[in-house]
Amino acid sequence: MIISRRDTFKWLAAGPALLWSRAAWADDPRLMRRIELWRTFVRRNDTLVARYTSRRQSSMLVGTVQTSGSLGFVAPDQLVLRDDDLRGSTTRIAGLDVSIRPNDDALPVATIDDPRASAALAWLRDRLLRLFSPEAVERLNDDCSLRATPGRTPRIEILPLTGSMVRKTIRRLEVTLDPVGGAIAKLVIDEAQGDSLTLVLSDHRQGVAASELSGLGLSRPGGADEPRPH
Amino acid sequence: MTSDSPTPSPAPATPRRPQWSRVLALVWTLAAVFAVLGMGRDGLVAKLDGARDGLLPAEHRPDRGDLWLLVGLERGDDDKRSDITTSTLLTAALSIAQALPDERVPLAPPLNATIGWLDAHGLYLLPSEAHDSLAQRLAAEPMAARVQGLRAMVSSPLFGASGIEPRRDPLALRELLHDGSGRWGHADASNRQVAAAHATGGGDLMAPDGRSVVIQLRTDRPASAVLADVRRAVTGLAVTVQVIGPRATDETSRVALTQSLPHIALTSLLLGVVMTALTQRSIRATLVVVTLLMATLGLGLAAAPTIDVFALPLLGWLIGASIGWAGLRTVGTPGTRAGLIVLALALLPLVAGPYPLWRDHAIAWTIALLVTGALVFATSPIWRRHGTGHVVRRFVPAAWSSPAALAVAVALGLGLWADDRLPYHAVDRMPAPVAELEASQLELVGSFFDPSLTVEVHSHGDTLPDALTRAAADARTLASLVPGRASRLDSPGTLVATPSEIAERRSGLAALELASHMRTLEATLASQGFRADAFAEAIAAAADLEHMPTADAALDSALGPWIHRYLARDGDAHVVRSFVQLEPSAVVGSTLAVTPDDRRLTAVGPRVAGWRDSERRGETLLVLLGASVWVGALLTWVTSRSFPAALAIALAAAASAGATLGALHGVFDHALSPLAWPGLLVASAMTFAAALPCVRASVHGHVIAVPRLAACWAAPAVSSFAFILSSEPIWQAMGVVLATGTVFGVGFGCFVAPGLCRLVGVGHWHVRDAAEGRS
Repeated sequence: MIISRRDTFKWLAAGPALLWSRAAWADDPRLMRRIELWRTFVRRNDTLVARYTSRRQSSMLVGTVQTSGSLGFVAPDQLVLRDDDLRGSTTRIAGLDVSIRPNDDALPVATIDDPRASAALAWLRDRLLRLFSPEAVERLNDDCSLRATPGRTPRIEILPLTGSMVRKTIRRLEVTLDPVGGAIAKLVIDEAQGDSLTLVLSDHRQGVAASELSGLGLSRPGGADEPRPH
Repeated sequence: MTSDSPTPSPAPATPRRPQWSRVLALVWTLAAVFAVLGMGRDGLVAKLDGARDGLLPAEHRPDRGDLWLLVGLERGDDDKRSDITTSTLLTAALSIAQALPDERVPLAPPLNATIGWLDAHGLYLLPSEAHDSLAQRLAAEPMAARVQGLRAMVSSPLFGASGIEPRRDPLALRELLHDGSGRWGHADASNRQVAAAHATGGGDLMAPDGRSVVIQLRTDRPASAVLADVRRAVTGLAVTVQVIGPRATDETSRVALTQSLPHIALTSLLLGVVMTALTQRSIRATLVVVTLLMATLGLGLAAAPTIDVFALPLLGWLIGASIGWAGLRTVGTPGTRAGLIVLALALLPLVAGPYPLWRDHAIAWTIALLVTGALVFATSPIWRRHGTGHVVRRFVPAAWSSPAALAVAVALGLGLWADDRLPYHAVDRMPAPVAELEASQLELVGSFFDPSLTVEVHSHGDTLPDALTRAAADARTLASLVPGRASRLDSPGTLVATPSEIAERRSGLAALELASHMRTLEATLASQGFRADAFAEAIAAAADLEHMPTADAALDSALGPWIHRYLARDGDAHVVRSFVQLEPSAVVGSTLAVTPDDRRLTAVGPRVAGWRDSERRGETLLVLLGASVWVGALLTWVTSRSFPAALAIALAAAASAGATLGALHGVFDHALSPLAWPGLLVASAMTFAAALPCVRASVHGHVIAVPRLAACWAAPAVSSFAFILSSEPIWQAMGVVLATGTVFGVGFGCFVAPGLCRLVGVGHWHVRDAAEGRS
């Protein structure tokens, strides 16, 4: 099935193929196929809403902390992950800014680093945005190296550049794609202190109406297609 | 004074005088040749001094031992970008630290040392006012809320990179430390547009974009030697290294000076030969004069201990003046002796000024002028012509009183107008010699700090811990200057608490009953699903009140090497230097701040001297011009025994200085600066030198060669031209003022002063009837 899809899309990919040929993954056919798979889904990712289950393992936690919630994405640079539980938190990425707030307003908000000062935070923010962004095809491997993990499951490993400061905090980001549609099924973030976070996504819906997005606190950029009431 | 001699007549010179003059000239020339050969080219180059802050008082000059290395990533092609990362910079910094172990000092407190120190002593570093907020955080409910908040945030994918370190600081007590006290080791203004630089593990500063690193050195070696060692240490790494600091600026300036010296020498020589030929109009005389002047120049250079960039325009002016003199002596124009004395004393008012270099140069100027004048007088029989081969135009100097008054009024008005509008470049804003120096300075300023705006505050103590404790007290006061008057404070005192603070805080902390709160914290953590073991170290450190951040503890800890870079010795006392980077617009009085116990903190640094210089700008101008005019007036009175004449010529001198200021602003659009003072003094003195013979001739109705007089006295303006055309900004600035001042001085002296004297009613000018003397 993968092969037939490749033939079908070979013509569609003829244009950007020139751009791809100078991309670093041109010499790894497996990686190329998986990037292509990812691209088929991300192409229509103008807006995206999905359900996720997040599981964190850490040496400071007794067991694993598991939460579920909704993920919202609006191209090119807005991403929200909101836990369902009131005891959870909402992670919001808007452009270059990042915020993590507990859902319960009564709880204090701990200060997080400024992404401009923290290379690791900026790197992770950029990776998450570009995984969902349809315009980021050529820039997928800016500041990182990509590898196709061996095995039949289509997985891409994203690593910080060798010797980069980011490696001191984030070791690895692994993306598992759905072999049928190319949607991102699972994200695993391995951190340097041995902690890891696994994010399993499901129920992807693309091209979602603005009303559902506003529920997550997202807005379409521009808003020109919305009729303005005078 | 010699009487007029309009008709050519063979002077009855005794046969022995020319012989004596010849012998003197020969001896002088030979001595000069030997002196120059003995000095050699290397000797001359060794005397060149590139320092451009010689005008600053000695205590405000930047410390020459400080050097900074700016290591940046090479801007390679995009294909290679993956190889070049921040880690390359860290490797380079490590190699440099290994290559220069004795000279490299930690610029910022090493990251792990700071973290360890704050973990151990963070609570003691909290001000007492923060104990209430601390108590609030430790209360059961807020503590539980915070732990719940932590657990909520743990599920975020960005949590690991967010910088929250619950194992070190579960209750985020570090936030309390950052309220108002800024970053550790140095306090930055919190309203900066760009994120501030941060410390690396080794104690260097890394730019926020991760593309450059600053390493500090303390060394006495020349910057070029240091750069060679550093480049050797980083071969193979894709980094660029630049050296920044006062010594690097000196050396670059010196190299630029060495390179431009041949050009300026050649241009001046050509101009000098042309001017001599024009004034002498005889090949033999030209050769003799040129040889004598070059010999004098050679002797002067051999005798001078150093030659700096400020001296050369003055030297050029002197050469031009000597040529003009020789031209005047050729024809026996009167008034050259008094003119010589006035010009020799021209720069003397600078001796009382606050500029060390101008003081030295003023004295050298007087000696040089007197020596050259004496030489010209003594050897003039060799090349003097008795009987000119052509007609020299002589006439009685015109004395138009109304135009003169008008000219004076206009000039004074222009001077006042210009003084009002002229911007002032203070003594610490000398222009840089080459563009690369500016570019590297700008890079340093953009990402890190600005050495030109940094001032030092000294904290004294009998022993080292005492000095450090005093610095800690001072740092509290200095920190209050950020962000209003200062943008950055760099002091080891920010990480140390004084004994009084510790005692105060200890009782406050003891009252908080930390031990029981920490047990509650353990229970809360466990109830929320955390493993209390992971937080054990932080909890134990928080409950421990026995380890206090005293000066002794700081010196013994991992921060010790960093603290040592702030130390200096002043006799027996130990001194800790704190650095404050001021806002460009800050008002810098002699007292920077006053501590709560009424101690005044004074700062030293180029900015302080510069601010004081700008404040005193009007005063300095008035005093210098006033002194110059007074000296000239005194000489005029002695020469002429006429008080009104002295006053009138003094007024003309003030007007010529005013006209020079007006031209500086209106025509050249330059700024006023201490570089202009010699030029303005020359304008005033030149007015007297040119006016004395002209007014005398006008009063007595004699004819003198006015055009020749004006042209000869204006010769230094031509020699200053060579400096205006050069590429060195200091020479351009000085050359412009010197040339303009000379021209206006001659103009006002020859054409305005006689009219003024007629206006004032000078009817009598003293003449020494028995004054044959040496004409």
